Amino acid sequence: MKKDLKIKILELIEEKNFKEAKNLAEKDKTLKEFYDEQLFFNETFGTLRIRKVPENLNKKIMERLFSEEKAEKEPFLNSIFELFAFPRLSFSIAFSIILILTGFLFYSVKPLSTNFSYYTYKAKSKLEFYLEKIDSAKDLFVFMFDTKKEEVIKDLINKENKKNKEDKKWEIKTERNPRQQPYFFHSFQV
Amino acid sequence: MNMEFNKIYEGLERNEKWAWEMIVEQYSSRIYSYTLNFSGSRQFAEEATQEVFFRMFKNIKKIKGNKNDFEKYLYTIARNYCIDNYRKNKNINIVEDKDYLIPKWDPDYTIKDIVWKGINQLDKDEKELIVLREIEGFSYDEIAEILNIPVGTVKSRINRVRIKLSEIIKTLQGRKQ
Repeated sequence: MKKDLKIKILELIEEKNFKEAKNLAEKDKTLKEFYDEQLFFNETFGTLRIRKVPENLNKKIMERLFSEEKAEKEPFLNSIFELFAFPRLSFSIAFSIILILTGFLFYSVKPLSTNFSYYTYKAKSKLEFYLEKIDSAKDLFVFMFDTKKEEVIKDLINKENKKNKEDKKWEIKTERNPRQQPYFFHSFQV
Repeated sequence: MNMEFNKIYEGLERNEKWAWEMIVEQYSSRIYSYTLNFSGSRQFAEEATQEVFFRMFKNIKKIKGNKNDFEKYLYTIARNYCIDNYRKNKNINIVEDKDYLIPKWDPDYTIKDIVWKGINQLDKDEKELIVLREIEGFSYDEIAEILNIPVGTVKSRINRVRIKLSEIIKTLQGRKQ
């Protein structure tokens, strides 16, 4: 109850309605004391604010603000490095890395090129083998029913010659002729 | 501060030294007072005041150019800095620098000393409210914004703290007599 009255007194003081606050406080001795205390507090609190700062504090603050700003704004070498040298340097580094990688790629791929040609030839041969089968069936069919047998025979011989020629080429270069060695396991052949 | 705040603010935005000098001169004592009241340590208050202005300097472009917002922001930075340090080092609340605050030649030294001691016996949150409202003279709305709590809560808490403070001071006076 008294606490509520105290709060009411505080609110009235806050509104600067001192007359009513005093009237309310007059009802009780404790409330009167409380009212007087609050007035005293209002006078005293203001004096507790520190109105002076230690010597040189403002100077220190200003020095800190502007020395750090200066350091950020005017780093001559740094700014040259960041604005001019660094982008160029990073470009040069990136360019060198690309060159080195390209060289390395060429270097690694070159020994594979023979193998690459070989496997291309092998794949091509396989494909040709099946195409030949189809073609032979077609030729046989045509041979049986076509009247121009001579031309067909000539064509077949040409094809066979061409094939033999290519086989021979690979026989010279390598022993791994896929037509003769259809398996990867040499031991199997042996 | 006779000059219009907007003009000073423009100077602050451009990092002009005269503008910052005016602001530092105007507010350094308030920030120093606040941080000293918060921590009780002069050394901490000095460091904190420097740091608060430095953070303000760094973030000046984020603040709208009116005086109230500027002050609120300044105290919010000060408060956050104090709280961060309080969390890191809980026993920072330390030396009662009342001799610096209340000179011994003051005729009301005894009673002010008791009030100061009373404030220091409050909890940290209570003390903060009293410092902001009664010592630094902020309005309820401004305190609500600085502390990020509703205005009604600020009012009721301050009333409770004042009642508590008067009881503490009575006890202290009783002891002294």
